Amino acid sequence: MTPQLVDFNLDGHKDMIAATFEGTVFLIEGSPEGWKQPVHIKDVNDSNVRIQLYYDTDKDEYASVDRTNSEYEVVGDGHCTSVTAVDWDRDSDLDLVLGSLEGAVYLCINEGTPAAPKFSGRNQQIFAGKKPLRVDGGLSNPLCVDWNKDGKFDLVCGGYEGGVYYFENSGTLTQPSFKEAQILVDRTGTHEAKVEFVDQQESISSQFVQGREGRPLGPMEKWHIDTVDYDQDGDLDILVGGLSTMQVAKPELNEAQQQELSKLVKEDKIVSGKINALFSALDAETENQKAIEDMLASGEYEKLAAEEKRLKSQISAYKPEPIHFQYLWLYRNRDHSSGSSSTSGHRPEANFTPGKFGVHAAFDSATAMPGERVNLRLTLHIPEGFHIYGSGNNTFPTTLEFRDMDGLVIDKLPEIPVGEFNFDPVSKKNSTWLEGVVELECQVTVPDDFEAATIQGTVNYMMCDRKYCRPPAKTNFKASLTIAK
Amino acid sequence: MKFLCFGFACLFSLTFGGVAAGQSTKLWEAPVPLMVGDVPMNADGRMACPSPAIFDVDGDGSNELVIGTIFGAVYSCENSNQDKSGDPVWGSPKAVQAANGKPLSLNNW
Repeated sequence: MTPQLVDFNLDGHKDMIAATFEGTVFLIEGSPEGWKQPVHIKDVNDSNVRIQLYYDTDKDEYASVDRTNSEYEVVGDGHCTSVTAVDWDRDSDLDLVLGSLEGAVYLCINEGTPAAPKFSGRNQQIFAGKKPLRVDGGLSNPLCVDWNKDGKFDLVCGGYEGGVYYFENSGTLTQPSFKEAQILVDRTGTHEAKVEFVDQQESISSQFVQGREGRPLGPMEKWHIDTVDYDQDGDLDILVGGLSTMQVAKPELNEAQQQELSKLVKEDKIVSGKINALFSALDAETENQKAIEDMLASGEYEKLAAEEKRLKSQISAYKPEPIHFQYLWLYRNRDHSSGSSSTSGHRPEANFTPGKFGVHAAFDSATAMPGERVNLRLTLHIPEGFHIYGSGNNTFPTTLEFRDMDGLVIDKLPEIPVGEFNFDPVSKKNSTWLEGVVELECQVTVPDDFEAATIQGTVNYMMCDRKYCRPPAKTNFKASLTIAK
Repeated sequence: MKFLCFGFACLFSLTFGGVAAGQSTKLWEAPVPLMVGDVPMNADGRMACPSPAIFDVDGDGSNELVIGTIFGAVYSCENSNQDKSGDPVWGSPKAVQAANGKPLSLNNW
């Protein structure tokens, strides 16, 4: 599911979105009174947003519809079980990235407005390299995260069979495209938390994770992930909700115990056969409610079920079943050079809000040596249809302020560009505007006693379209640096 | 490799041909379970297929651990660590309530 916090309809109240095994996408709208109950997110045809497979609640069965606008066939069943919202094409509204359980990812473009989203009835398959993007073994959830700190979101995906996959965005701000998969976290485990592949025909799963003192050492499959600076040390860590199955050591059985086990297994098969026969008879009488009621009233099923439970309990003493765990896990990042937690490092909620001005600040490298000079990049994101004013003789020139430098020294303050000349219909005079994306950079010198530092600042601006101006505003930015080891 | 089947879902288990695995082991410390006191969170397995995220779900200005489940429930855990450094200290998961006083519930299959 992996709920995401986002102001979906720009009403000033944070909302949540999520997808479930129903194969559809939900909005949980925030309001002054609190959360509203979830509702389906609709497309332009007033149908539920989905990929292909979905659960038809009226017919009480799975159904299928093809919503893919691609020359490639839908991967597997096209079962949409995860979603994340992001302004994919930087047109200042939120689009939906739909994750299919089978491992593919689709884009559902917002054809409405930032405040009144209307999603396309056709989904576009997302590519990695020259092939449709595919998470091997299936996808639990995709995240749009600026993992490599280049100002563009990348795709970070949790694997249904485990692992975390990274798809670097090598496209442009308005036309993302992705490289082939890299493994961020290996599904077969890190360090001691190795997953073993055991050939055990009698078990549902043939995978087991190692354990200690009765607990697993890591997650194994169904990795639902989030990226977050969990320990507030300036880099992104990964949270994983996952299933772990631990093999339980089998006791050495003497001859008498082996005979007893064989006897119990035979009895269990007989009882299971009787239960199956009972249900087969019931299936034949599906339309006859009285037959079901009579069967339940007779107590026959309860008697057989109790006998089956007793037998399985006795069998498990000789032949223990694997144990399943569903813990939540932290993978702590120990390499500060990737997964920065600067302003754009987290989920879109903390990234760029559609229709709003945004600033992304990041050092070229997240680490530095004492005395070293490093490059700081500031990226101003101005929503489409709006402008801010350049540094010339304007009504409200955009300015930068730095503060809380933690000993960092800026060699030369970045200069706000003058901008392009335009006739300003609001002020009725010529002025210079900045539109779209504005890149600024400066050199910062690291102090000799440096261990870690955060640089913070504010952009002062006034954002206008051709009819009116919003009140002057301030947007803060922050970027962190730690010592290179 | 083999098919891996789990109840409602049956997926191919494929090889990792063509996937680079450069950073996977050097980047991460060994995984540790999130704890509530001395007990791993969700030790009772009440939250099936937990999917975690961290954000301010109750509008109190601090982030909570928010957990979705496969059955469409949403839980949250308060962080009692008020310091601006170090790991959060989580309380027990509680169902997130809607404005009508009922737990949030997303429909499922």
